[in-house]
Amino acid sequence: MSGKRTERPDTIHLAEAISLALKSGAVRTDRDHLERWRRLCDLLSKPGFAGTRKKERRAKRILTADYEFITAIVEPGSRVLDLGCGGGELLAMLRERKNVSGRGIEINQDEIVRCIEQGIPVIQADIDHGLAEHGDQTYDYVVLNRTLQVIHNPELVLKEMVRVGRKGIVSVPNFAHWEVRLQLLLRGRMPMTSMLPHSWYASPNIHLCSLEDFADLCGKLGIRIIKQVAFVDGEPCDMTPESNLLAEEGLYVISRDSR
Amino acid sequence: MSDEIDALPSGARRNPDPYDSPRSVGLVRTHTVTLCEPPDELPLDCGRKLGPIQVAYETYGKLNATRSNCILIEHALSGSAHAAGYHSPSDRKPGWWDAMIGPGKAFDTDRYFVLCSNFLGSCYGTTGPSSINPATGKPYGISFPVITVEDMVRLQKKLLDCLGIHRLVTVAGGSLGGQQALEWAVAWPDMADSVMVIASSARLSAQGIAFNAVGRNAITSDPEWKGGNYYGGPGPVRGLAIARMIGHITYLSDAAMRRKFGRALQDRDRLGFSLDSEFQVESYLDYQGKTFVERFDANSYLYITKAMDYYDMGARSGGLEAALARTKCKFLVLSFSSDWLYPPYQMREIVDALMNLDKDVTYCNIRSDYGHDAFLLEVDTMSKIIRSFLERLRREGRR
Repeated sequence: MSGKRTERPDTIHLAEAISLALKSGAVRTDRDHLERWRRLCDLLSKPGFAGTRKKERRAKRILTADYEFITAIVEPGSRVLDLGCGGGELLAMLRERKNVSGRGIEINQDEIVRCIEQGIPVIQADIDHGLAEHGDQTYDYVVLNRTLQVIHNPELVLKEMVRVGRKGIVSVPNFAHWEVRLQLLLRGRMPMTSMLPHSWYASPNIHLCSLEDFADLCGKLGIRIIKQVAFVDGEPCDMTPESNLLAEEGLYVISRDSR
Repeated sequence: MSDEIDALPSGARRNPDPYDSPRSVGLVRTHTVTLCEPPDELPLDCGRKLGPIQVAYETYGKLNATRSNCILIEHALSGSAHAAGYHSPSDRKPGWWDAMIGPGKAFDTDRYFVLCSNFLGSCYGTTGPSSINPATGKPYGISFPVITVEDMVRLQKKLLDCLGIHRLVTVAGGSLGGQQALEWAVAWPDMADSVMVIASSARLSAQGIAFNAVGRNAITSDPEWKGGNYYGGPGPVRGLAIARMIGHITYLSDAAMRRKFGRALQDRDRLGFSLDSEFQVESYLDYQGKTFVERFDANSYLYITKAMDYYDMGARSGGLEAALARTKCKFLVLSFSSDWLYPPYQMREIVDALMNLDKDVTYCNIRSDYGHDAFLLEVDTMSKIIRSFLERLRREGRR
């Protein structure tokens, strides 16, 4: 796992922005602070922050980063169940590069058609109902990629994942990412980022959490985190205390706590 | 199941491709072949043997040199071997699955050799209760043995042997046809690369058996049924028509009926305070019943519905999973959200069993208001899925 972290302009802006925000805040309203506040808001709307082209590139990098990472950690020939598999892109990649025998579960009919086009065996089902039809430890990996936040019953699904699979792989968009925090803090609007692109009224995301929240839930459910990685601007990095602020996404390999 | 174009809820009615359209298989004819001549009669599940048996079948497209591009299509209760195309330019309607079979269609006859045979016990050219028993020179009537879905599939295997086909790209069917497709996967695991089970189940529900029982009662309580020996007379037309009316209710859905008929009156604008048929839905059912008796044999209806009731994959082999364990093919399972005759949960039972066995299975519960008839009507969605699935088989076959 790469522990390398390159400093990016965004990150520097972020540090400045956060410290400014924490120092100013809504409690004090003297002129100096109002001025700083205005500067901060300007900063957020500068090209460095909101440049479309850069943003697009970044979004693309971020969107494929976890696929690459999952493909890297899954052993060749594994049996993989992908929950909320969408059009089967991840499974297709896993099959192509790691020769896995994969199966997807998806609720959306159009996505199912896309899976079939890719030759991915797919079952239409609602994972919120659990995985009762699957026996214990029948898969090497059960994947829940950027899906935890849309399901109604995350506790049930996480417990089912480590029952059905020897290991689970969960990726979670980080709601405590600085960009999210800043947008809410400074703009006072529901955040929209490349990771969370939906407007509040059209968002399928009903159970957003921070990386620390997720780790807490695993602890509560007796789920062991075997491996964890933070994605900062699409780059996999070691999970550190700062990750909860810097990473747009966390990825966890989990299993039943056998202690 | 209802292969009437008239059965389409309004809005779904699409004009069939005419016989001279490039998308139609064009003019076709039904072939017949006699199989199972004594002493090689067909052994049946009931313990009896039957032979000789005439089998009616149709084919579309060309069999390739390696005889490896055949798709077997299975029809449902009232269907026939006439799955696509026209028998004559003056035919009002094409075969029952014409929307799915033809050049460039889901079952693409430019690429595949498509075969459909009339199943055992039916009345469209394959031996059934209305056929002449060579031993007596009279129709079998109720001396015809009780047949099963397994028997139907066994006879189809004989037909394929006779035609020199030993490999199938897929076996596909809806309703009772889906049960035959499923049975193929178990009975001859080395033969089909895949099966497509559509709007079907591994066993008919109690509700399904109940509807069939009412249909059979309507026929056998008609005085013209005469213990099954009605050939030469008018026959139990009233009973058979009522059986068909009940069937039609189960093929539709509340939503489909509401959309097609609502409470509209037929040929009148106010209630007549009479006991006649007044609502459009009544007149529709009357029409379906009346036209059905002109084309179907009442005894066949009794035997085929019995075979549907009997079918229970796994009953003899210690459960569904045990039965499916020996299958080797890929499965495509399609249900329809509003189908209450073969409800989606029954298809999930098959899917779950296959998943637990680690079989290659793909399942989609297609959103549809058309009820059970959706397997004849949801052409666009089914085509997209089936085409993709066949494409995948071809790609993997080349590997």
